[in-house]
Amino acid sequence: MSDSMKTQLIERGVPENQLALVSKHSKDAQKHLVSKGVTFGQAVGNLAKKVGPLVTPKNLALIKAAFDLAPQPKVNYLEEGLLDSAQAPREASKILSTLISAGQFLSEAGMLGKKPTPTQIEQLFGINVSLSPGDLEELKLLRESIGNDLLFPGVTPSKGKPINFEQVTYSTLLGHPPNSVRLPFGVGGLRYDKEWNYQMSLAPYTQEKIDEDKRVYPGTSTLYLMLQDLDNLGSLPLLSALYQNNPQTFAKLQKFLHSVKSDNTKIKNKANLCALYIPTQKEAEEAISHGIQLQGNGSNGLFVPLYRAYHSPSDVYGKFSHLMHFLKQGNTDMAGVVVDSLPNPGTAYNFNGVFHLPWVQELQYLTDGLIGKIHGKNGIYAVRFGIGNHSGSKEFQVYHLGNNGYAVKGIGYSDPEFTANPSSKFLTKGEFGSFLDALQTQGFLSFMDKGGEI
Amino acid sequence: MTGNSLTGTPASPGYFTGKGYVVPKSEIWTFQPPKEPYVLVTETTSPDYFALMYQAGGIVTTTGGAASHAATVARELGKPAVVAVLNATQLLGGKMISVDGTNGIVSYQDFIEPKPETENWGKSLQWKLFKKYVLKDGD
Repeated sequence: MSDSMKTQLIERGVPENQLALVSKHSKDAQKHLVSKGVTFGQAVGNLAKKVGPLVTPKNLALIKAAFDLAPQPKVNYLEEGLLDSAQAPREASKILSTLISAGQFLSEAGMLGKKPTPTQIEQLFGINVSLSPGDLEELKLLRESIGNDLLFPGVTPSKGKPINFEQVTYSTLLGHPPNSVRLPFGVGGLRYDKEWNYQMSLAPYTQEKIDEDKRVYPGTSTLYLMLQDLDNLGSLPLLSALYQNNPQTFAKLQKFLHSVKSDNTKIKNKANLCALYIPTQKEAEEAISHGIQLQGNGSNGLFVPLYRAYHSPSDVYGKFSHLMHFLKQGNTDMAGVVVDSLPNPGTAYNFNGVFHLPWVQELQYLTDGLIGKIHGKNGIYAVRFGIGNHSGSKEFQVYHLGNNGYAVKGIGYSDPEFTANPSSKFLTKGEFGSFLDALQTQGFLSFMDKGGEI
Repeated sequence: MTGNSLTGTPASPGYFTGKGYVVPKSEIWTFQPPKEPYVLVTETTSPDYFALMYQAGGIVTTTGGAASHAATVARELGKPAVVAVLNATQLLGGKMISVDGTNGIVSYQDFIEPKPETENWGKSLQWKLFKKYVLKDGD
């Protein structure tokens, strides 16, 4: 079955070497699928095996304590029901990620000249372990050794037997997606999972990243702490230096932060369109005129400069990380450049994945030859593989199947309306003349015309 | 621009001429930017290079392709860029560089420091007028 689908894809112009990569990666990814039957204990063991080589014995002791003290995993997430096959590994990863997030927070707080106490960290991150001052140092080391972020395994319907990644992928690319549409331009592609997708302004988004999500991009904590301490910015050591050496930049930064803090918009029940194919400004504006929103941190709530569309608003967080690095070196000129490059505050868009591979270094090879890679401290870790079910699952896969230019780069998943859309077909370069054509061909524009909300 | 040239992969269209600055990853945070827009030359870029790319007038990397970080960021910033230019970091530091991002050509020649304005002052029209009307000194 796979062979005939491969032949069809080749006939449609997909390079054989790319298909070989897809085949290899799909098979490798298959090995890392976790089944519904995995217990919490097994999930902890699997995770410890993967990250164990990266951490120190003291780190491991801390991780073990956190696992031991964790309440038994519950299966009453939003994903409950059909989509519940990876709850235990997800729970285990969340616990580890919480520790990593705390370590990242401590590092950034230290750069800002702040020293959170163990109790503050326990409370802020909901860590059950009773932390000592020495543990705080270990948390920082843990973050440094593993990276800033640990991707949680997502969930996927099991229906008794594992899904065949390779077949699902080929089938999807051929226009018969079990649960998806393909996009010529998206890493995330169309995310139609309104329950999990939402838009909010940067301040509450940042708060949520710290409080709940436990996935902290570099700079998130810096922005969080600056927003918490906005009236005393000048008293923070590095910012005090900025105030003295480059008061104009300090004033611009302060203005940006005040603007961010005053906007607490939160819009739920929206799905977002993320993009890997980066449309030009004109194309983006045309698309937006049809009601399509592009992922990112819009300068006016409309257009998004998409160079930062990959993991925006991590782009904004990244700038705060850069700002502190420059200031630490006394490089106030470049700090000024960073502040100048901050976008006007606007809506931050969030998107979630359903199924993720554990994000560890040993899986790095899975991304060889592919784009849509996820970078961590020690390099590229994993590509996201998405799987869902017929009733409208939500995830994406990231493959680069094109020769050049913007051939098919991403796969988005959507609801049955899109799945059933006969115009959903594999697009290659030349099949559409413009970004808008591509949107039209994929049915997005007609969907919008019918009052749909992307 | 006369001189030597290198070729690479056109990554972001446009044309820019300026002095080349090679900035390895280890020097990102200490890099002191020149006042004039410059050409950023590096092996590859990562998100940490953003501020430098934001400030640079053109970008040249020794590695990467049309979908690399350098290329995508340069396109969105509207800065000319050529990637996969072999030996760029060895040859382009301190040179006057022209980046042809449309055709993937990087031309370079020795950079000649422009003479400070005061050195040209003696030949300038302003000086002649200054002499004539302020110093009351005829030609």
